[in-house]
Amino acid sequence: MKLYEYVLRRLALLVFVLLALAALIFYITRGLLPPAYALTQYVTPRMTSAERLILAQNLGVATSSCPSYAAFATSAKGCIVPLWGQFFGWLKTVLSGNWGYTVLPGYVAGTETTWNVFWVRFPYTAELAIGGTILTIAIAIPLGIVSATHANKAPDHASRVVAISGYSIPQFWFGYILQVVFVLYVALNGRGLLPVGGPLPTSCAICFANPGSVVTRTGFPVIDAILSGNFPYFWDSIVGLILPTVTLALTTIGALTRILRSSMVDALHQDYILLARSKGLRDRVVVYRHALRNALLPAITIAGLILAFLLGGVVVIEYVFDFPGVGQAAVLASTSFDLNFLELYVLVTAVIIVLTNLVVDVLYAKLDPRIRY
Amino acid sequence: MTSQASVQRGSDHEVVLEVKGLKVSFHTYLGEVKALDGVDFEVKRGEVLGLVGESGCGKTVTALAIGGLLSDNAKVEAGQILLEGKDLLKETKDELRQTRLREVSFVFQDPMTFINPVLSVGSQIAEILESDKGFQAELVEYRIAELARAESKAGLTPAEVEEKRSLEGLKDKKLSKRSLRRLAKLRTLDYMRTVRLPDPERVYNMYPFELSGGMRQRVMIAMALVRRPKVLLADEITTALDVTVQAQVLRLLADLRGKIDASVVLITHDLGVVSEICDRVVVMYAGNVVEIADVEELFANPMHPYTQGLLASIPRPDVFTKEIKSISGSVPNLISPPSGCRFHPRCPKRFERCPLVKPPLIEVEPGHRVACLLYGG
Repeated sequence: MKLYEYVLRRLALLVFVLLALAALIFYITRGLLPPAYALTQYVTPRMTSAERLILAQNLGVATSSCPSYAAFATSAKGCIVPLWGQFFGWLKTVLSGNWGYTVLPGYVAGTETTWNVFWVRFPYTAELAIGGTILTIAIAIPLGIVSATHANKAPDHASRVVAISGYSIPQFWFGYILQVVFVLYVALNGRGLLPVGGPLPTSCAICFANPGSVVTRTGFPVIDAILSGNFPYFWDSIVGLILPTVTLALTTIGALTRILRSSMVDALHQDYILLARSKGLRDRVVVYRHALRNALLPAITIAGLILAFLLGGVVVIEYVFDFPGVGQAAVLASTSFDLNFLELYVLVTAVIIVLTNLVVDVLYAKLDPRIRY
Repeated sequence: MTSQASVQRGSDHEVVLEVKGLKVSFHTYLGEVKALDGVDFEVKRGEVLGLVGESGCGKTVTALAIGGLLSDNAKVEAGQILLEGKDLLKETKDELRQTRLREVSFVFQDPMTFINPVLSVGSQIAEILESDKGFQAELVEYRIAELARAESKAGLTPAEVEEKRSLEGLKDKKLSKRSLRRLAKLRTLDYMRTVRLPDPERVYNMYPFELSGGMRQRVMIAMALVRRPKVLLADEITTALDVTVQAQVLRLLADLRGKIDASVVLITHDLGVVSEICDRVVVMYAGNVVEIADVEELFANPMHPYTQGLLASIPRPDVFTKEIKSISGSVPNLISPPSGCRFHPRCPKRFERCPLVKPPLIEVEPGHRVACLLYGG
């Protein structure tokens, strides 16, 4: 099978994954709530009972034979469409692009659509998670290699301490400490060295004073800055990511380092390393060409999981650093019954996880010739 | 082969590698394992020397010690390993690496686990030539000679004429990375042909899992030969192979004898293999050399009781026996080895001095040395 055939086949499967997942989330959220909750995001306060009944019928929740809204609200017999029918009604509505208005706290009811709110917030979360993954890989891989080549010596012990503290320290606490240190105590010209976070740094000593104008094309501050050619804005958006990303990556750096260390130690004890050394190759070649290529395989699987883990785990960071991302909103959505927001959040996350797994599988096959797709 | 072997077996033959009084121990949680207890032997230029003994008798440890490849918990307590006069035990890590690169090469037992599974086999041979500037002149010279040969035979294409001119102009200057890679690949393909790998251009880009056991073993032999070593240490190279493939690999080794200048140390527990291609044999037991002799002499006149036991335990189709003979007892625990002669607890001919005195290796007949108190010492 060719590579592109494999990728296409996996992408086709993605459609089914999403459908199944959407149905599952629908069943868990809508199936356990009274049917009137289906209207939450579509109803306006001024609607009459008659209008509400028509809305419920249009959304595919109330049957066409339902006599009145009161009958629908009390779930009278023959008034409610069975759940699987509701699901298809919902699917029809959202696929036509109607995700309803957001009912999240902080938004004026009936002004912002759930779809818009999600996609304005999503880039911030994605930037954090991707930044965290890159930082994790950039630190954990060298650290893991050094720990393995100096197993049970000082560098290994040091990295073990870093790793274990990394996943033992609560993120909200560590983020708070970082803020206290870099924003309050380490100051330059009376301002904190690094910004607390938030959508755009407005008061930090090492950033440029005026970020200037940026055309929003993708919603990702970093990418928009590059597209607009606005270097100060780009710099600011990167600096703003430092503290949250470091906090985020702390846990995963430790995990990835230890996994790479153990697979690297394992690889270094294999017979093929003895042969490579017997060939008179330099240590550098033996470690990087012969051992690392084999040791990377398990580490890549974990690196893929890390992105997914960070996408979910970003909620705490968004709270601590006041980042306007989707994680924070998803928590609010679950308490304020913004059910469509939850669905969107779960589905987009699923798409990302499936795509990441696909990339991991392709990389795996590239690194290990024994694996066929 | 016999006539060739007898020519090479002259007693005045030059010694390439000499191991003297080598003692190696391993520090383990259970205690100190005295793996080698004074190993002495020498390898002559061009010969095939068999190093035989049971599992755990120290054959592999001896080989790894020669290459400086012992694990971290091993310690060389005493002895010398002289390669053309220079003591390998006194070399620094980097000098040892150079020695492994240019002078002493290894072929290991299991071609499945010893070849890196995720790199193409060709690149694993060529990387040796690419790794050191020292090979550059050799590669250029070799390619020029090859082109010259082609020229005298059938003439050259314009591209080849151009290549030859640029290579001749190069001589002492540095090769570009690309042409180094190309020359290394050409040389690799040539050696892949030498070890009779079929269709080298295709096999070059294949991975170990795509090759048969015999082909993998040939790849490893090509790795060992491509740098034209002085000594080739072949550690149980036929053990993991099917009998028919074993025969092919042995025939290859025998045929290569004339073509390569390397001396071969063939480590094996298989006396059949020894009788087929070795010139001389070193018999080891529990970290000691117990007997050294020419192969025909050893099979005709084994002196050490251990060697006698080994030979008697080979089943022979021409002699009817009810029971295959074996040496009673088992290989001793090397953390607390037997005193005196390490073989004495299992020896049918032991007498009262055996547990007391460690027998020295003495020459009983010309070229035939044995470490047994029955013969003096």
